[in-house]
Amino acid sequence: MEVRLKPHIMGHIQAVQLILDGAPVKFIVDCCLDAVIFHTDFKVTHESLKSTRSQKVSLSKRHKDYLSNYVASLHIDATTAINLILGDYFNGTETMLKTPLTVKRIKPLPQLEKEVLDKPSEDTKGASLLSNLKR
Amino acid sequence: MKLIADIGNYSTITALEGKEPLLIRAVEADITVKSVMSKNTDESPTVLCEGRKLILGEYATKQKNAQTIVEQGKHNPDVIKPYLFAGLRENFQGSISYLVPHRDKWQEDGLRSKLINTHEIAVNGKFYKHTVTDIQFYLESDVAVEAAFITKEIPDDGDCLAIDIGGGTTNFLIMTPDGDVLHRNSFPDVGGVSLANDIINSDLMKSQKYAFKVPKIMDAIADGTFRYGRNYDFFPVFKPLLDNWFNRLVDQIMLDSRDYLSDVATVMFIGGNAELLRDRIQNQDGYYIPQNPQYSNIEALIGG
Repeated sequence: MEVRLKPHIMGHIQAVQLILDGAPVKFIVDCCLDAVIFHTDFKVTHESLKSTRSQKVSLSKRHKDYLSNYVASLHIDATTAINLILGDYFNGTETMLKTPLTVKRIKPLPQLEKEVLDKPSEDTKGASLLSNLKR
Repeated sequence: MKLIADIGNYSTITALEGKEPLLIRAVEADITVKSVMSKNTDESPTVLCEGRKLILGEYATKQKNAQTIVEQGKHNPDVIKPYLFAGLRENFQGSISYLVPHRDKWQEDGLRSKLINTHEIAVNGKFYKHTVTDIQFYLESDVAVEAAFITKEIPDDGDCLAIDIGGGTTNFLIMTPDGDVLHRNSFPDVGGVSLANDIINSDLMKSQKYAFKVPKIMDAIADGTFRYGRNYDFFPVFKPLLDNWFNRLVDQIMLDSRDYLSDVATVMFIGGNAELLRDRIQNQDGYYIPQNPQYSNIEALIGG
């Protein structure tokens, strides 16, 4: 998944790059997202630089689920989401989505008794008679 | 005297009140200027009417210039007249009870203006003079359902959905045991002709590179041979096409009448092609097909 980092995020990343001796942008983004998602305590104290450029970056697979859930829960696109997450991270505020969303296991409805299935309800008797003829 | 007439796309049925109905295939061949050996039977009579000499019925389908009643225009009084009187073997004076799928003032006025008159007609070499004094029109599916309620052939603990599958058209209606019609509709081109066309357009039949005729396919279905002539067996495609055709029909009816289905307790099938569905409903409650579904409408009127 590719996203475009906004200039104000790039300002933070470039500052971190200076400290980490020119680490690639993707590496820093991955480390930041690991810190948010997997609580890896990655923290580099830095002063944000002024940046006017934005940059495209591809995300690692391990972050994809989290980002998808974030996107779904806020009904925003992936680029906005990644900029919000990294913005919160660099400002020291917690992201809105603390834990990744998981699909709830929904129990299927209990099976109806055979007699109930066989006998059409009074409301739909005519429709049942008709549809039973289909093969 | 009263003459009862059910002029259908596939067959015409006429009966004098209190007498057995006569079914004739709705096909004619004009032999006015041709020397053709005629059969002169009840089912394939030779009729001289308005200066035209015609073979009607089954034998007409064998002629090169055979034409179905649908092709000629079923509502044209001149087309109907030979079929109407072909079954009479004595001079007739009286009214006609005429079954129609729906009321249409123009058609009814047209039939009245032409048929209420005296007609001279020869059938199988004998001349007759018929005088029509009046025509009453009846809705064809309604009379069959009303009669079934009266004779208790269907239970009166709920409404009846009647599906009249004719040769060319499928009519259906929902009637209460009191005889009130809650809903009715008619699907032209969804009758047996539609199924026959499905068969003709199947890959199997197309691969035969032969110009199949709809009436002959319908005959092969009706007589249960599923074989066109001697060489073309369409049984392998008949069952899946029948299922597909009928499922589509059921879907159309359900979509159209779903607001009225809640009180329906019986589904009744009538019309010539109802016979195709008999094995589907065997020994199941809630369904009814009369013994001779093609005669249901006319028998209801004959019964009074």
